Amino acid sequence: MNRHRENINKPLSVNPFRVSQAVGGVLALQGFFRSLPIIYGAHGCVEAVSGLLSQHYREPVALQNVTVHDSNLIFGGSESAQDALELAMSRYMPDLIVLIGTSLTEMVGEDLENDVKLFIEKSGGTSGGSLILSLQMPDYEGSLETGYARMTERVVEAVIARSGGTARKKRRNRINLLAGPHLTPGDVMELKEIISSFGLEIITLPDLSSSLCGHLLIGNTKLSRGGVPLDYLDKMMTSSCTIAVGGSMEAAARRIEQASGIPCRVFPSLTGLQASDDFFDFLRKQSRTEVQVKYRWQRQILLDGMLDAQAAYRGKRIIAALEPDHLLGLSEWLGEIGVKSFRAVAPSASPVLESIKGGALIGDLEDMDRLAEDGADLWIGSSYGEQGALRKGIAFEPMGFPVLGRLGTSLTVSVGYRGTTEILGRIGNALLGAERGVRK
Amino acid sequence: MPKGKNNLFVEPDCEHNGQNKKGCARPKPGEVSRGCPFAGSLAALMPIADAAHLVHGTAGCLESGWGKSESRTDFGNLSGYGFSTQLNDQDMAMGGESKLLHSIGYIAESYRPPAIFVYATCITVLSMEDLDSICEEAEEIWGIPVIPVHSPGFSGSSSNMGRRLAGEALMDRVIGKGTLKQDKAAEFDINLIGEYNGAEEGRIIETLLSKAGIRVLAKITGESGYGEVSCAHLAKVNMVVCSRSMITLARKMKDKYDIPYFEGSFYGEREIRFTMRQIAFHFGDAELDKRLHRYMRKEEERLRSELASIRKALKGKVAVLYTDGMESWTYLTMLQELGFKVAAIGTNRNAQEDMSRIRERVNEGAVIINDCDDGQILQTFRERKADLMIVSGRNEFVPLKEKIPFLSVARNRHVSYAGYAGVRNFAHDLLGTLEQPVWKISGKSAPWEG
Repeated sequence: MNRHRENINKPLSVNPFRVSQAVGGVLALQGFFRSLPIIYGAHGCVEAVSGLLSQHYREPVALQNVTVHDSNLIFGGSESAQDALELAMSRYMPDLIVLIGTSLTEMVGEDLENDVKLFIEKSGGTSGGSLILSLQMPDYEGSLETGYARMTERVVEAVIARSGGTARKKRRNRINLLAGPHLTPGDVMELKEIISSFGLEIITLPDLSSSLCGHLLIGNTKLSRGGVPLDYLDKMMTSSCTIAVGGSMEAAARRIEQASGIPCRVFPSLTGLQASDDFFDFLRKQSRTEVQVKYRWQRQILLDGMLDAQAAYRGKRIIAALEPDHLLGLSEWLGEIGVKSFRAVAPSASPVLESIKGGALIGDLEDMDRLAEDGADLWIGSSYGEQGALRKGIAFEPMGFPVLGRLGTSLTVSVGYRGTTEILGRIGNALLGAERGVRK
Repeated sequence: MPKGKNNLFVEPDCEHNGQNKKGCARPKPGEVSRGCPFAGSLAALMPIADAAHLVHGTAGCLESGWGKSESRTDFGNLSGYGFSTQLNDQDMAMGGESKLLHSIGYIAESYRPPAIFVYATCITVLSMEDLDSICEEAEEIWGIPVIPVHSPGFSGSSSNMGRRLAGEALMDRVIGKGTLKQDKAAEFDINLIGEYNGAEEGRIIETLLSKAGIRVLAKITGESGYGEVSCAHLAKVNMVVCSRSMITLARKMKDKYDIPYFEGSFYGEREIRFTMRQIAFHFGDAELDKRLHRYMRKEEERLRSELASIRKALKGKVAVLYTDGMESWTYLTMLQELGFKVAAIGTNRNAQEDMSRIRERVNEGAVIINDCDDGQILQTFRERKADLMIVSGRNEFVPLKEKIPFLSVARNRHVSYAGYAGVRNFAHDLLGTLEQPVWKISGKSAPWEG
């Protein structure tokens, strides 16, 4: 029996929580320094994307658009696309531009790759060191996770192509970190700290830890603030290994592996005791350095916290609506702390769903309503689910994307020993709060 | 938009109508600050809370449209649900018409709403689906109104256009179809048209009017029920609240049902006074007139004593406005009444009437910057040595990233600035913003920066 199949009896989606690929693509680009996504769609496409990201991160988002007008649909929009590239280059000189196609441009058959090629030819190589790419990201397939992963892969591919893919001498103590979209800027920062505590140099891509994290460094700008600089990325070909966090990032890691022979290690998640142990053990061996006292302490604190919390979690039924990688991490961790059941709904397909113990359904929040009716103590998911949880009278813990109307979301940490302790407290407190509510 | 397709560019009650038609210029790339007509329609009609709103398009179309609104408990909260046909690549090749019909059926049978609004999007218009005939078919099968709304994203360059198209759908298919129960008839019934500011603001306006003895029959469309909107033709007067996007609806109701309309605002004492006088004029009732004036006098006196100290503290402060659409002028009166001097107004996407209103209301020495960009407004702010920037949602990060004191009047705030209570809230928020120690602290450098 395939439990991961979409509900085929339903013609429509009721209360969808799938976030379109383009949002993931734009998000990934915020993790590259001085980058600029250009969305090629109708007015609304770009506004929806920037609005959603800005409300979640409480930060401005670098984003421009090629406006589709009725005449473009009839006569083709190549001219508009090139105008947009021209404008972006002349005004801001970004290091990285990606022209992002939507279902609309896909449908009318725009050739974005050709637009970019024509623009580069026309400008006679004046684009300097800038990387100008295109990527179709229609919203009728995939989700935020696939969009983020595909964009990362696209940039990696371009960097590989530009570097010529020649074999160069590897640096033992340099590591590539491919950080998945379920990681917050706070999570990425935590991972960088952990890895560097082993004396390793890290190239993170995309690097949200220095972007969308609230720093005021450069005032008002139209380009991404923070993120990994493009010229630094060439060095990823000479690292000793690549760590991918989240199954969705594996494809990009494999690209690097194929081009330069750097081995890659995929960690499905870094939340939980076992996952963290695996990670630290890997870093120990990779760096031939011992784990710092700080992290030994953190492990002790986590163990103590798990003992404190065991009764709060015991016998609890938790339901969650999140992206596949996020779900897998959560289910592993909640299995460790002994919840009675974990049932999940994912917005789109992914191979990792097979590994979720209680199974996962691909669906919408109406499916979450049904799970809730079968009995649940806590509903975990994005803000789209908050009203549903309220209607069903179930405690709600916001996680994933988007989380609206809350402060500090982007700095929450749920990876490593410290992050696991943090999330142990968050979910545990939500469960305890719900218990008190029942007794009232 | 092809000529003759609809009459929304020819509105006899608009200032621009007497001028040469310019038509729509090809939009320039790079301008992010433009809205989506489809999103505008959805935002305009979604407040009809007991109806179902089905988006016929791909996943992203609904993204900006649901899940963010507070729960609407007064009318049931079906509009708090997001319905989307979420077309996939197969549907796009084969056509989504049968999927749409099945979706309407699913909603009608599972949720039993009084009506279903169905929204066309870029994709479904491009694939040339016949939305009207499917809605008609569904209406016959399930016996409830199924109302098509035609405002695909590329049909214009603003959400304003979408609101106008939503008004068209209401005029054609909803208003005039309902009947009021006999015991519900009242003497002074009024409709509020273009009241978009969310539940909180709508409630405050309704309370304010009801204290003066006037009943709001339908809010088109603040939080409301389908039944109310379908009875809107039974009101005696229409008030177009702040926004002109549904002016055509008001004008058509005047032509068809002989309901006079006027435009007014509830932001600031002077605006409220003007609005109330208009209402009194249209009802032409001496008793009501007296009651309204008594009510206003009482409220104004109360404000005077309550706000005396705040007014003193705010006097002479300088504000720069960088907001969208009608917010550019609605807050002018209130700011000036509270003692502010307005140094500059950055306007984007404003109707000509909006511009006239700004000119009418603004104090001397204020500059109006058309098609303003971030750099210009920041430069003006510094040159004029302003104390505070007023922004709405889209521009919020401009002052934030520059650590400039700002107050956001975006719609998702939880406090109302409308009515007398709104004046009080606005005054407190302005003073609170100026007094925030954060502005000073955030300018302080770290000890190691020397």
